[in-house]
Amino acid sequence: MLQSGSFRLHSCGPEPAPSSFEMMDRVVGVKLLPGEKVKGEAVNVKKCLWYKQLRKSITGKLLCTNFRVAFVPVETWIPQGPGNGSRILGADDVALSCIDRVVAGTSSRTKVVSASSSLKFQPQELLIHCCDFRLLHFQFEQEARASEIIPLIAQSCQPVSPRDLFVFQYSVEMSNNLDPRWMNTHSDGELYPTQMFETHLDWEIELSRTGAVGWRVSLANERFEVSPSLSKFLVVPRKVLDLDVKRACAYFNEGRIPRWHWHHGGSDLLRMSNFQSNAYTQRDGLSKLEQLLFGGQSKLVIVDLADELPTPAEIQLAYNRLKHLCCYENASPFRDADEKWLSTLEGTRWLECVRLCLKKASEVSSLLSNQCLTVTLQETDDRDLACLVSSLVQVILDPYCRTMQGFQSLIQKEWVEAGHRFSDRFNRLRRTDKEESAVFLLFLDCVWELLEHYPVLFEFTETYLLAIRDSTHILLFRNFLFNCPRERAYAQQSLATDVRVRVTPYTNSWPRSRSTPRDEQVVLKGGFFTREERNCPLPSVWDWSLQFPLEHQVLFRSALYSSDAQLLAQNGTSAHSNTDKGEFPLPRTVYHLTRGVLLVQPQLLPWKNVSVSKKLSRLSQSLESLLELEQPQRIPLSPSLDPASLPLPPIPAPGIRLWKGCYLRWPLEVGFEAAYNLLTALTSQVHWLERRLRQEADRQNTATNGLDHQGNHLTQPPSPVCSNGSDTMETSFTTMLSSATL
Amino acid sequence: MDSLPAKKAPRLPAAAASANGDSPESPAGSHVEWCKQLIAATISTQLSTAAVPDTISKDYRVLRDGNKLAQMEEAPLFPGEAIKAIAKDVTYICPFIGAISGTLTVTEYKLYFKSVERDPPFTLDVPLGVVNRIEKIAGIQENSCGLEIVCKDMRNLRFAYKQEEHGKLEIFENLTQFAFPVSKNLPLFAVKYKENYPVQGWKVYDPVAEYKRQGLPNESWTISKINSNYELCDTYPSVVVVPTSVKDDDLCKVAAFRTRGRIPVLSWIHPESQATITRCSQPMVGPNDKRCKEDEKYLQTIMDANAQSHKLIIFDARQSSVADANKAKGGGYESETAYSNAELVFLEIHNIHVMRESLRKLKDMVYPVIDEAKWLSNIDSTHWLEYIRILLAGAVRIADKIESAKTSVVVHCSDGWDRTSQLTALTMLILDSYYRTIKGFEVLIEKEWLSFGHRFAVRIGHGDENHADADRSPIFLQFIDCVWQMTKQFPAAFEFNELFLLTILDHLYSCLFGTFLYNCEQQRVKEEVQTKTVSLWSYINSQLEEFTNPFYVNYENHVLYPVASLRHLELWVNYYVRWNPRMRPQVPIHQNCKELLTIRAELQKKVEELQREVSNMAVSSSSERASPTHSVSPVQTTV
Repeated sequence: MLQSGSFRLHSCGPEPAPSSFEMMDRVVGVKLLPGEKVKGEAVNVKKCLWYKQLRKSITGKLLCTNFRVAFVPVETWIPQGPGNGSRILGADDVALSCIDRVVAGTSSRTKVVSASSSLKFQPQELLIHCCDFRLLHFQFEQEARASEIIPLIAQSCQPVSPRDLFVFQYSVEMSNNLDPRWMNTHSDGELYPTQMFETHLDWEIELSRTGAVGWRVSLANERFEVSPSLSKFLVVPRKVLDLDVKRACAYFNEGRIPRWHWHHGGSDLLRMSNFQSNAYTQRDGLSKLEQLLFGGQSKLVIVDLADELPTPAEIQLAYNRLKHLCCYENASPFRDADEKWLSTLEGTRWLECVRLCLKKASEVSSLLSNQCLTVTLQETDDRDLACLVSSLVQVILDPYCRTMQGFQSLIQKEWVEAGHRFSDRFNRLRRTDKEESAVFLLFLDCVWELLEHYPVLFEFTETYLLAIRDSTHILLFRNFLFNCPRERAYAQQSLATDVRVRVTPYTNSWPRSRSTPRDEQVVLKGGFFTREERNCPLPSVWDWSLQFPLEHQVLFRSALYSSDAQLLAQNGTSAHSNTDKGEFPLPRTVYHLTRGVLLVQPQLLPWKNVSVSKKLSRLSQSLESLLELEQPQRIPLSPSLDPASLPLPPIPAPGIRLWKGCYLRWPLEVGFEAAYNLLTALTSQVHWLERRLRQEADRQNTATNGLDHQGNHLTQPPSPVCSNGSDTMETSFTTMLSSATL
Repeated sequence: MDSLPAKKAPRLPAAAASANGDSPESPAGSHVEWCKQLIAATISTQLSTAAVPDTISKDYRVLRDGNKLAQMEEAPLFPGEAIKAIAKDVTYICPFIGAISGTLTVTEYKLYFKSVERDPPFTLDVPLGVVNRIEKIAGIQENSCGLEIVCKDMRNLRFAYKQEEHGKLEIFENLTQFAFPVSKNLPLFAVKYKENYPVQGWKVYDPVAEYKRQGLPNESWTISKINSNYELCDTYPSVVVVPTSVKDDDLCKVAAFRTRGRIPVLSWIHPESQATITRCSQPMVGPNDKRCKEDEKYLQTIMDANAQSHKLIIFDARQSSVADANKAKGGGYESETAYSNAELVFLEIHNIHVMRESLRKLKDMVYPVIDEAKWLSNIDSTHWLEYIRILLAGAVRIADKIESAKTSVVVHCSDGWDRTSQLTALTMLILDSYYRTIKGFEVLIEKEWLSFGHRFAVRIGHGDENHADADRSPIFLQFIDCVWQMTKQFPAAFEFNELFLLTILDHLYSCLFGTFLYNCEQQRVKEEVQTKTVSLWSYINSQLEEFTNPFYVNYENHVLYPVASLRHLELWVNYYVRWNPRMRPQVPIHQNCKELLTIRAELQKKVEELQREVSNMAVSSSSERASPTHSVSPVQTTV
């Protein structure tokens, strides 16, 4: 009900399944996706399982399609790696978009192969470095084949233009519903309906869910005129007219005006970009601007996210160092281990990034939960750390965001619709390395840390977080493909045209014109005018059934989580809400949060000190004296007494750990079975027993009625999805499952 | 916030009783309770720092004026425990939350500090056994003085009190007296501790039964009584397993050639290949490369007992340079020329002094202040994890030789009671699933550590005031850390949980139980430990459910090789950093797990019942419909 525009297959009349597709799969050896075509292959390829130690290799053929690089072993073998359970990618496959580097080599030399470079030697080996820290290593028996397929892979994984992305062909094929093999895959739909925040209604629901008063959803940005990078829907104070919203955009970087994102207790959480430093001449507009900024409150805390937090560039630097450290290539188990592992790990500064983000988030959380005020997160362009801190705060304080549905909605609200530049930050199109940054992955890591400390309070598991993470490496989902809602809207429009016309030649880039989107329809829905895109064929990542069978999705749900409906509904102890305080502006105070201290700083609002700008520069020099003058007010960093929140004080360094299940999962060492897997196995078994109980009850009913006696044989209990490395662990899993009888 | 875990995990009845603190709590569950109280205390202190700084609620102020405060701050006692000194208005200087004023009580067993200023009250309950050193600090102000107590369990305590009051002098004296009873010629509290547990822990380990479990004696190995009076070797157990064919005379000659008479004896035998782990001390080769025919023949016999391999691997735990240096002192190692078919491998493990120094550095890093930005590199600089890695790697190598190469091994270091115990015990844990059960692990400690004479009294320094003793070393702690690392890597392979390991470590120092007292079996027999004291296993085995891992699956006959790579080792934060209130205990998940297991068991039962009913009905209604009584397929597979 809440979801809107999630990708669905409109499976009308099933055509008689032509088995030629299945035949083709069998010939190719890979279950190809709709629209996927094999571009080249090499036979007699050896895949090495232990890089450099060469302990084992399997022979097979290497395929390159327009979506993936696949390895098809000659003999069937049980994949040893931690199986991802994916429907789309096999254990030996890697999506082209997940390829980081292609390296060709002989015994004596290696060379990074790019789309443009040519090989000047006969390669014997191929190394594929993946974005998910995997390293695939192949050896060729026939060198001629190698020199064909290696450049092909290198070329294929670097799309020339966005429209070459496989997802467009895929979506066209899917919409046209040609391939019977994939017809039934979507019937499950979304297990956890997500608010996509692509409609007016979702924002209204969020406002009422959080209990925010005095706000309205504005359509001022429906043509992306206020801000090209923001969502169509902006939540602003009820008192502020659309005209004022449009006017305010001039004062903010990229027009990203202060706007409501969340409400907790009596406080509101807002986000905005930096003040545009030029003109503040329209004196009359400024009061509206302040109204916009203060929301309904008289106290405003501006949290400058440039303070104490790493920049996106620093995050990427840390991430690259971490990748280098954790990469399979550098791992040498059982041998002289890297003696300085912890120091090197510290040197990456990745964990430091995690710690700082969590610290900032818990500071903001304690502000929000203890007082009635407006907290505004401010960042230069409001598209990176603002997303991160804002969503972490909500994970900490709002139990709804710790459910799967809530978490997905949160990502939609704070990242996708708020215009996190997924395309640039992931840099899958290799447009510019300068913009690349693992901000979103850092966010997932932060959530994992919280999950590790408070497993009982989360509905989802590490497996789920990993699934989200892995999905970012497959460019198949509209959520993570674009830089902002506008880009996505245009891409989907033109795609819709493609689907209708069924022509495939694409133009070379996104349509950039600001012309009115024609393919929209105004629908009266629940008393609101909502604009729905009629054709929205790009799949959503939250449609998990696209990627994972239900058996695997069971592992997303934590066994420890006991949903308490009351707690869930509760979003902060409802403090007396002093929104809508009447017409007269109260004496307003602006605070600034810096190093855990709140300072009264009215000059933070640039228009306040047009006249005192000279003074200000002098003041800021003697900041210390200022501190004493203003009587710094310590934020009471006390744990919130709200039972629904996570305990607040920041996790100290010893509590922050490396996400080994993610960064170190590939080396095929003696595996670990993380506790969550055992737990999930246990829950899935409980579920299975419950199902079975129901069936037995039905059977009994029918038996007493004497109507039917053919009880359905239930299949085996949920099969272990994760096998991990050594057979010891694999069997352990089955043992685990078997320990039903206590 | 406190209410959430409490809500999710209802407290046990025992817990509720002692939470009041006024009734003498039942000792069963007291440690568990103690841990919980600690948790509660840390949480409460955090709450109060923020919410009510330095305010005393009215009720307490009234109490303080009356004399009830002392009552409220009284220490709960064990049976047999008596209060020796009480001092009011003592300030505990907590490194995390600042000064707290309350009552300090010293008993024969513990130091107890309670402050009702805070809500819930702040308590500190420290067994005197953990005290390493007590120092009196002369007051900065004239009449106040300080007390610094350095503990063996990774913390220090500081108290301040006014000197003028007469009673407080007693505190220091009583503390030193009962913290170091051995130095003062007083009995340890363990002999006064009288508690009846439903389970008798001293019966956990019966050497003959344990060897029988391993399939001994057999044609090659015999259970020998040669050491029944501890005459052959005073630090060995009375029951040892030696090759059948070796005569007692030769054994004596071998004993003369091995340091302290610690001859090679069997620790473990592989049920299939008959490959064995034998342990001993170094041979007394000396600077002149002395040889001993009987010893050479003896090792040959050990090798011959295993038909699967024509080799014997001797693992010398030491660094090769150290082993060489030992030659000058009359020790040394087996030369491959003298011992044909033997292969000598050095495991390059550092000595006890290096380990002690490493732990000292670690303590500096974790208590009380943590340098957040340099946390990891600081841990690196202590080398603690590196030494853990070397130990685990050594055990993996030994286990691999036995399991994969089916070769018998001999393990020794210098005396064969420190590194050797660590290695043999870890190897047995890797190889034999029995030792991964609670009872099996207790047997393992009793056997490899206690009976084979790891010198607990000396290494820990029970009741001894000589804190600078160079013989002290955290060898056993290292072993438990290695076990913890293994439990992290194989979370379903061990029947016990983290609390079990923490409890063992706490009572390693506490001197409440007799288990870890004295240096060897002979001493324990002489001191009648089994009759005079209570075994730690009595306490643990009386409440097994507290120490059971809900995910335990018996990996029978599975060899579990831990990954001995630094990237897969972790600092045991829940032990080393547990006094830091910011290292908040994680939300207890075990209660949920237990509930889940119960639900599963119930569902399983229901399903089976229904199936039975249905099949009965089907049979009774019509016999030709026999087919639907589908076989009851319990959720069971075999390993």
